[in-house]
Amino acid sequence: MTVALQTEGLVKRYGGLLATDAVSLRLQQGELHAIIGPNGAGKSTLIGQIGGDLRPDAGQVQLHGEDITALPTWQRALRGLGRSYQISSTFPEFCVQDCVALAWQAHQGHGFGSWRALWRRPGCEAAVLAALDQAHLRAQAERPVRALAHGQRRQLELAMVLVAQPRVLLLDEPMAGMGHAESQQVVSLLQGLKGRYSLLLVEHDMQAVFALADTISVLVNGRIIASGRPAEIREDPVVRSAYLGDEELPA
Amino acid sequence: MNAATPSLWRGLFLVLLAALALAPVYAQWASEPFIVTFLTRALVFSLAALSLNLILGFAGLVSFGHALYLGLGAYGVGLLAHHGVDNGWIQLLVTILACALVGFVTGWVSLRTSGISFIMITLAFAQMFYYLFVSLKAYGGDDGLSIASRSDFGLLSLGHAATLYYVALACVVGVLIWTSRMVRAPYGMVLQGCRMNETRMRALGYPTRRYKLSAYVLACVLAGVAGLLYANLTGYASPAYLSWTVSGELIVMVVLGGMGTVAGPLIGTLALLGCEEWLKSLTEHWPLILGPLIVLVVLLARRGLLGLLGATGEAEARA
Repeated sequence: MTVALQTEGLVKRYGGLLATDAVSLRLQQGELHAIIGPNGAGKSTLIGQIGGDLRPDAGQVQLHGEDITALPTWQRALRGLGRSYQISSTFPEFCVQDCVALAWQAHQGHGFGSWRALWRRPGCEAAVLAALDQAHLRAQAERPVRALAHGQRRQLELAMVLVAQPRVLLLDEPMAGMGHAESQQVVSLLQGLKGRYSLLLVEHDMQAVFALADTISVLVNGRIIASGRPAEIREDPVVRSAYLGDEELPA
Repeated sequence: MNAATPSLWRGLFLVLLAALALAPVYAQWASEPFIVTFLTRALVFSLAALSLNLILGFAGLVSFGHALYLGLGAYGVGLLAHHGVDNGWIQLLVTILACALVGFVTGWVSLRTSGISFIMITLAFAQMFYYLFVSLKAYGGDDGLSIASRSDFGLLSLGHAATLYYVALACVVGVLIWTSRMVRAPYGMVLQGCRMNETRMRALGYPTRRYKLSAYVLACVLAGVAGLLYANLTGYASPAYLSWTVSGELIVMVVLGGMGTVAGPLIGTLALLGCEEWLKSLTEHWPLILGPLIVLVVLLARRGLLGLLGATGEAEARA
């Protein structure tokens, strides 16, 4: 198996606080690797460093063997690192299909063209509608983002990531704040992506994580205390005492 | 909002443009040359406001120093004419190069900041150049530089009032047409994306600062062209053109008409300068009336006069 994404001894300090403590992660090609951990464990900080929004104080991030630690966010994106945000981060004044078209355009060379409408560029419509289909958002294509329900905004996040056909997906709590039915839709969507994409998933929904993940890493106080198959994690006494406590794990 | 509304507004807008095109004919017929002078000034400022709207309205960059480029354009004509170069093409070329260079350098520095710092740093650059021109005693210093011969473009001489007027109108219409295409094209969408959510734009793979800098430089060059026309209208290049009050007026024109709309800056400029003229004829205390009027429009409508009339772009119509 080849490694899609890897971090080596990532360290991030905020003053005296060690938010990321020598994190070494390995995401295999085609697998879904979930990161779980209590609030404040440093999950978002970790994702931020992999995506490029945050600079690590030490350590390395590698994408398909290439060191991308020093690259700005946009260059990481162009190298195939797609990312969704925990708090829906879209373009409120655009309609749904415009957001996805903008995400598509980023990978079509420069965007300085200022005469022909983006929507009329060859390939745009097909790619955008396909991504909207994947994210079950086709019916909302022409609605303004402002008018979307919370769950639909989460789906739009996914469509904007998928349309770029990234090699590695960083998904920061794609199911945050979703109802059960909506979560189920996303779970089945992610199920379908496994194998074709390599996914790094941060998620609070334990049921979803244990149903989806090939590998789970447990992050506590910025450190990975355990990493392994879901079955191993479930049985791991360290994980149970440090993080899961008396919480019942899904079978 | 029904489907007919956008085409109704487009129709009205075309009527406005047609009226502008016929204005010199009317002025001639009514023997009121003042109309042409006034409208030329309005069109020149519209062009400057349109250029500011590119960065302020679309990319969300509040530049408080845009008058700098208006001034550079005016001095491009003034300094060259002072040294006997009245060839319009050379003046245009020098203006474009000067504005692009100054715009690139100041933009490169300013775009490292955002928000209030960006406002202050653009203001600081404009003030720097303001005092530079004040200190140039050989070129009139504080008093400015009067321009004896107007720009000569071979077939066209901007010394002729109607010619200057139509050149200004053509520039405004050209920028309007380009803007109306650009809004829906990748470039316009990217700029608007940067305004709404720059972090996300980077995560999508856009080098946002490059796009913003390109828009900034383009806006500076267009404002420079407006300055060139303005110098031909007034026969003067003065440090006053670079003053921060002019930068402020340009912002008011854009905000009043509707930030980030295609036609807003033109409407805002015509409305502001028109009201100014009208109120001046009523009372010498006209700012006391104009000020509150502007505040009212800005408070009532997020997208200025166009927003108030319900004549803004598609995003609103779809909502």
